[in-house]
Amino acid sequence: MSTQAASANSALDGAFRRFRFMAFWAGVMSLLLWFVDLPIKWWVHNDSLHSHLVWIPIVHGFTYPIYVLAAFHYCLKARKSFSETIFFLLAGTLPIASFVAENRAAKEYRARHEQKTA
Amino acid sequence: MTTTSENPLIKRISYVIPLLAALILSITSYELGIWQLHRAQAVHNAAKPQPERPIVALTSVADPGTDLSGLAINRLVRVTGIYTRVFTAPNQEITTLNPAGKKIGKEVVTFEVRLLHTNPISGRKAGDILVVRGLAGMDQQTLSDPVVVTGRLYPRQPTDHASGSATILSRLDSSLLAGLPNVSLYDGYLIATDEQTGFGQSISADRVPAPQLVQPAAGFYWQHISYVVVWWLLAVLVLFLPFYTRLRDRRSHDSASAR
Repeated sequence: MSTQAASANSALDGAFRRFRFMAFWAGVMSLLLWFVDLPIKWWVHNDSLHSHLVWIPIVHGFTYPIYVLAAFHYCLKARKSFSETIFFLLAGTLPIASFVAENRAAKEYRARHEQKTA
Repeated sequence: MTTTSENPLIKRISYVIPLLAALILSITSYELGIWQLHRAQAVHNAAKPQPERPIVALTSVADPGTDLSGLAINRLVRVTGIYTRVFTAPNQEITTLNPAGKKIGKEVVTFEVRLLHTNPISGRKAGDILVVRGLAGMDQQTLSDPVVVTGRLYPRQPTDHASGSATILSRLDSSLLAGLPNVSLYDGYLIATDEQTGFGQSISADRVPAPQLVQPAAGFYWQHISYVVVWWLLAVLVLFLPFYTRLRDRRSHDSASAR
């Protein structure tokens, strides 16, 4: 394997690990946002309870750009198509879409490794 | 014969379609960022105390039996009527101020609250509104003559502060008195800043502060700002994407033909 190819593979490994971590993070934050923060805000109408949950949308909002950058970097390194990249970028907005994206990326990553070792 | 992949028209379309999609997505993301920015500004403005508006008659901003409108909340109003019932409202939190008017802390106190039966004015029917006169004292003043009350309007309290009884209000909410006979209740309550007799004499009481309500919205402001960052970052990345993929395809094509 050439040095260039080895360095490209190592960059992909790093990008995949970062994307995987951020996909889990964004997924958990989305679940908290959609199934804890929003129902309490709109259905429970308990201001004092909701005041303890203000951190959820703020943490979700400020860590989502990191997810977007990690997903974008991974898509560039994995040579994803335009539509796939858009799916990966927007996956952090829906509660389970980032887990789906992570699962898909992990399958591709494993397949690529198996191909290399074969 | 030209194959599909070599057809220049198809090649151009396959380049233009992602570019158009990227442009639409990018503009949408940019607009969503602008929308979130406006929401952040609205939250920021709502959290600031508004300039005090002139005192108006209660009947000009509220009606008995209807929800208090957003425009009525925080208004300084004047109303004339007769106190019909006396209550206390325990465990109410007030902000303590220093002589310069600066907040120095919070205190839990018991309010003296009375139900004021308002005089009917110019064709409008009479109503009943809860008035917080001040701190509850050992002995209650007898106020059987008409009084002119000036104070600030607040929305009803949503949660109980104590257990209620016939003379104790668990929260400042006129709906607790809905079972009383011959009452037509205003929504919300008034914290009196001044009371006068019908002859213009001031009535003394241990008043409580009646500050403007401001939304504790700092957290929500930063939430919206974070979404502005997200949407604009998406707008930039999505716009960059078709150019990058085209450049990448061209490079890999060049390196393949070089080999």
